[in-house]
Amino acid sequence: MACVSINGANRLGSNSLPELLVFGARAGKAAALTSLEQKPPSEHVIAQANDEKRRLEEQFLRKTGGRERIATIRSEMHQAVESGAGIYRTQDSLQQAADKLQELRERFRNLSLDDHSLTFNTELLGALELEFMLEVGSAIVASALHRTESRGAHQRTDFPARDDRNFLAHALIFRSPDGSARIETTPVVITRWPPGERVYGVKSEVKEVAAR
Amino acid sequence: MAETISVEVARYSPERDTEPSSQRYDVPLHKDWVVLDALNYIKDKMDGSLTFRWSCRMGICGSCGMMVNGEPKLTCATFLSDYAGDGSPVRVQPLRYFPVIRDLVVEITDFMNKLQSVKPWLIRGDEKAVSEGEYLQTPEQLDRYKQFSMCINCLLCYAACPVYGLDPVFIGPAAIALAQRYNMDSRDEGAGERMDVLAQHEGIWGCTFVGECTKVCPKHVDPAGAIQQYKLTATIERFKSFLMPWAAGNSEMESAK
Ligand code: SF4
Ligand code: FES
Repeated sequence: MACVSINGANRLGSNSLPELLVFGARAGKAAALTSLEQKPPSEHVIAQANDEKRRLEEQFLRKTGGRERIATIRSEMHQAVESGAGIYRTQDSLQQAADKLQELRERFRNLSLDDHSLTFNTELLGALELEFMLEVGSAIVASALHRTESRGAHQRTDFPARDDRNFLAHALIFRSPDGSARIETTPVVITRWPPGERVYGVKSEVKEVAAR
Repeated sequence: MAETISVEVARYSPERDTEPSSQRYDVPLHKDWVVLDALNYIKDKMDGSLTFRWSCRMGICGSCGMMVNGEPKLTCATFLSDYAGDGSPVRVQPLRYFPVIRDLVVEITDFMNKLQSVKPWLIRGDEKAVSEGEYLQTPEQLDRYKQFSMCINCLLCYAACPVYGLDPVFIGPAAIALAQRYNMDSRDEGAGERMDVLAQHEGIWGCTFVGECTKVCPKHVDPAGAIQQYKLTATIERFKSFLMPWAAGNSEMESAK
């Protein structure tokens, strides 16, 4: 889902929304159809699901004695990613964000919930979302550290030029057994529009004239 | 120490309680804080078990509707400071007339089914092939239904509607406005089908144009106007199908487009 490859380093918000609507709907339909064709889950899968249920109960619903609140970790995460991995980023700022996220992921284990109910438990939902966001945040920071060039909304002020030779590629990020991130790349297939320089103002007018 | 304001919130947990109670929290009173900010302050800092729906914080998603001091409001667009001053707490309760799931969260499945039942999509007798291009529309044709298309499904109009309060089977203001949104669309040919759906809802004739729905609507949809408009065309159609059954159908609504 995160790599449907039609936008590349294009603008982020406005294009990703229709992308989500089109590909999200397709993915949802495909998942529903696929699940209809599946055999009933094996004992193995059921055992896995039970493990996860137990984990949620132990880590969140029945746990007592944690000291961290969701909101504290969440706002420190916002702060760290916003300042370290915004549009303009450097090796240093990204490393700081990575370290902070690592710290937050450790503190997350010490989370405590007030809500132990099984009815519409939005606090549990908030905790799960936070766990995912910490992981996605770490993945963003890791791939931004790896990409030592500038492209689209990824502006490494320590590497201002685009580097097609090494980085005209999608980054794929994997979780290693020890929890750390491993990065691989996959080539970009260019169909109609090769990547161009991103320019604004007078420069962009000049470029448009030249294109005509 | 910043000024504070008391917020009195309805609490209900089906696992624990037989009936709802209320709980009071003192929160900071910031000039730019809305009621939803107070709820989130409580959830973040004081009591993580307080349960309510919200998402966009900007009057778009329609999920934060609640009763504030007895009136249906979008809590993300209702300023706390408007309730400060007389020292009494701000009362926040779940939307009236809906079953409560927990605290401030109400059950809305019935409403979602009602929305779906009016067939809120363009219905065509003859579908054009994609290669033939779009169905075009003039700005004037857009204006005829645009207002009805601004609905965010916040349910405030249901919580304000005395007819819905008496008869929860009533399809209700927003669903009728949505039906009109398509009935009045020049590209649509489904008014007849929708009329069959709406005709099953006698409640429409119970609507006496109190207009409470229109008053509380945060998006100026004017559901009361939609209901009146619908009633008028439906009456004409009824007469026609009675007098000249061969001529009934879309004609009246079609000519209004
Ligand atoms: S018509 Fe207005 S009050 Fe009713 S659901 Fe739509 S936006 Fe909300
Ligand atoms: S939070 Fe979306 S409308 Fe209020």
